[in-house]
Amino acid sequence: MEAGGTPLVRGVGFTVGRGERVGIIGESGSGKTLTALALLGLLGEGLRAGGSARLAGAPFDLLGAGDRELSTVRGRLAGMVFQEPMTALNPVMRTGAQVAEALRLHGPRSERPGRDAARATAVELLGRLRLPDPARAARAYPHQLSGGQRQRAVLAGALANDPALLICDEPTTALDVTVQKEIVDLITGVSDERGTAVLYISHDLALVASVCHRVLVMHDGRIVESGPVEQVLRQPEHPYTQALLSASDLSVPAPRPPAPAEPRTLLRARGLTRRYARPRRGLLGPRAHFTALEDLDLELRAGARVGVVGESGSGKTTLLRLLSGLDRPTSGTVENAAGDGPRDGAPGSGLQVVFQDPMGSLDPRMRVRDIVAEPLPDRRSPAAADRVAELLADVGLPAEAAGRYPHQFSGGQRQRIAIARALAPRPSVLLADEPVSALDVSVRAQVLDVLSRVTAERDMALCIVTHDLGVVRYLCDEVVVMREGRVVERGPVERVWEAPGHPYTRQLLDAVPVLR
Amino acid sequence: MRVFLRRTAALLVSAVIASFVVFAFLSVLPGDPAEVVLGTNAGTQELAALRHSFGTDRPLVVQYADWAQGLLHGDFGVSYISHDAIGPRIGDRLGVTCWLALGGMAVAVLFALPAGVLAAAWHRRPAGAVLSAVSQAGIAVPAFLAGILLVYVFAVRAGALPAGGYTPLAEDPAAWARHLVLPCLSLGLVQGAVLTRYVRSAVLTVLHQDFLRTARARGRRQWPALWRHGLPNAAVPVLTVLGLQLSTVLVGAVVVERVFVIPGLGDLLLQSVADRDLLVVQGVVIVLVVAVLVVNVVTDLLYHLLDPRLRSR
Repeated sequence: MEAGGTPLVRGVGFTVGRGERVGIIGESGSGKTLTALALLGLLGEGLRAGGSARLAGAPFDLLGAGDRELSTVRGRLAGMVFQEPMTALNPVMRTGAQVAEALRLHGPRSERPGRDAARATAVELLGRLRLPDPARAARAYPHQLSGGQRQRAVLAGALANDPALLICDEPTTALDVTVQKEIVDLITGVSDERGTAVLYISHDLALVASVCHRVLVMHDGRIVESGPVEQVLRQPEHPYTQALLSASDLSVPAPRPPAPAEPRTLLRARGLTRRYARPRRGLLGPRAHFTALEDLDLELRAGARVGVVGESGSGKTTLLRLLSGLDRPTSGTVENAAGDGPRDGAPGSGLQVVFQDPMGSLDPRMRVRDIVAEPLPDRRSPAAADRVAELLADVGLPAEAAGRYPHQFSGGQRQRIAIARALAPRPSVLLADEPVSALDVSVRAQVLDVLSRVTAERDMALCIVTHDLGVVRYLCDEVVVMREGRVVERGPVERVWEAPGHPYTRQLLDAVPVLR
Repeated sequence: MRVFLRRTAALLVSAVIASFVVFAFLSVLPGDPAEVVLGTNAGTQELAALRHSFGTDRPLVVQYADWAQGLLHGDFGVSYISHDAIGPRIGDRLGVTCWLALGGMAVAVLFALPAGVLAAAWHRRPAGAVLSAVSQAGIAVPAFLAGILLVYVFAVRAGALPAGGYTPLAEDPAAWARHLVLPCLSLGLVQGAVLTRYVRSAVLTVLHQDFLRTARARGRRQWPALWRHGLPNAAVPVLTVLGLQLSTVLVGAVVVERVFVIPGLGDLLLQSVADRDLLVVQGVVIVLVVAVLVVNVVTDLLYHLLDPRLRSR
């Protein structure tokens, strides 16, 4: 496969048998998604695939076929589920109609179901995928459904004609762990029951291990290793597979700094509550409120590492916004003994934040040196330039990075830049909002190690908000589990892992796929 | 329904404010209608008598109340100059301008939809680039120039269509249509060129959206997927521009009306400004303001029809 003469994927060959589930793992840019798209002729313009791909039931080579021929394969013999459930459905069309579409496109014209019959079957399909109240979900528009519900609807469309092959491209990466488990169980269930072959693309090794029988490891457009899951993950032969395995293993915690003798309290939150007003129902109706966060206490001492976990909507990001002063609590207080920030001037004061998306949180038109120096009081001075060089070295970036722009870096490098910027004013508290969720497994550990090291060296308090329990276990000493705006459990990481006290915590822990 | 009521209420408030502003603005302008009618060497007594008969000697508040009350009944008052009732005159002219504007926009849409969609779908091919270039050039052409060129080609050289003038629909539908073809084309092609750009970029955005790929993964072929899933989504941003253009055309038709000697609202406005027939000016302006407000409300409501995400808010 190539784009404008540049080869992207080379010499990839594999088979998937009936009822077999084959995983493709690799990091972004390895060519795993391109491979899947090429099979169904869904490559973007300018991309060409050569070679040959045969699918049982299709009397032609998938790679040479035109749109007309392939359209008889897509949705009938092979279904596909995509990564981003939020955008994978047409926002202005009812969900049920989109599922029904798959039913009304295939087979001889005289045998195609009518609109109403197809809608009824679509409701049935949605029900089989365990959507609560499928009739209502079918009438709903995609924005009225949650991410997990939308992904079920996409899956319903892909499975509508009982295809021989189901291609899943990171179908759960954008979803919460508990929802991920439900979707994955559905996919494996259908595969077992109907003998559907599954090609499962993911960067999550543990997930692939729990879903698939065989696995292909892709790197730089080639398959570097393949075989049964057990064998590849137990005795990886290729150095890349070995590196990938060790990078994605967060079970051995990062080295902990010795606790300071008398840690001073840097940040103290008491009774934090945040309510958002909902629009009035009618002109004189009562004002409804949505409580994002209720009565939360939190204390951050020097050297502490606190992880806040919860699913989307649990209030964890609201908490971070309140702690950092980006939002004001409806009631409760945040005492910031650390000081407000660089304006205070004193070293070791202030609070800084590292955000989730290193692409969105760095100004694309600023050079790295200006980004990192921005929080400094005299950012044009030679002293500032020295400080930038020092910070870049701290986060493991080369000195010449200073002259470049964010888009010239990979996701992991960009997150290091964001960390360097946060460290620039020598804060004593570092807050991080899902700092590695947008990154590949292979760089996740590196970025976490940087966070761990820099906070340890400076005796800073670190508070990480994440949905990834592995990250908390790797990095934190103390964990706060949140659900629907409330704390359901808190305590030392080890204790919570070994003996979770709340059923919800147990449910969260169970949903995480683990490499055995 | 709630949206409809809310938008209509907002329209009424805006219209009241607009009427006040229009009245106040034209009242503070120099130019006493009585002086205009009688000329520069009129006697003071004659002036006072005429002002009294016009009612312009009353306090402004009373004049406004009187005018605004009339408007509610469709009474725009009587011209200072021609002594005709203004309402029916504006009504006739408004009809003409509406035909022109709607015809022009119809031409624009008929041209821009296929051109924009093809320009987007073919954006990597030479044909797409040519379409883009043509629309780009079209934007640069002023409507009156397009009008003159069309007249030269179709009326002067080919003699197929009239070069100007207007026949009311009720009198002779065929002649009415023949008279409107060239003006609508000259308005529409230029607006169509502008619209093509927006259709193209809206469709381009949609082309790269995930849901189009999902639809194809279900077995929709490329073009049907674009038609069924892409265009309804591309319609939302295009509608914004369409609403703005319709307002522009309603107000801006005057240039084309001049070129083709069409008795439209803009023509009436220019004429009454020249004659200092302030009451007519006032009437025409308020009608145009309300027309633009109505277009905006209709656009807004169409949004809600097109995009369910707006409805649930």
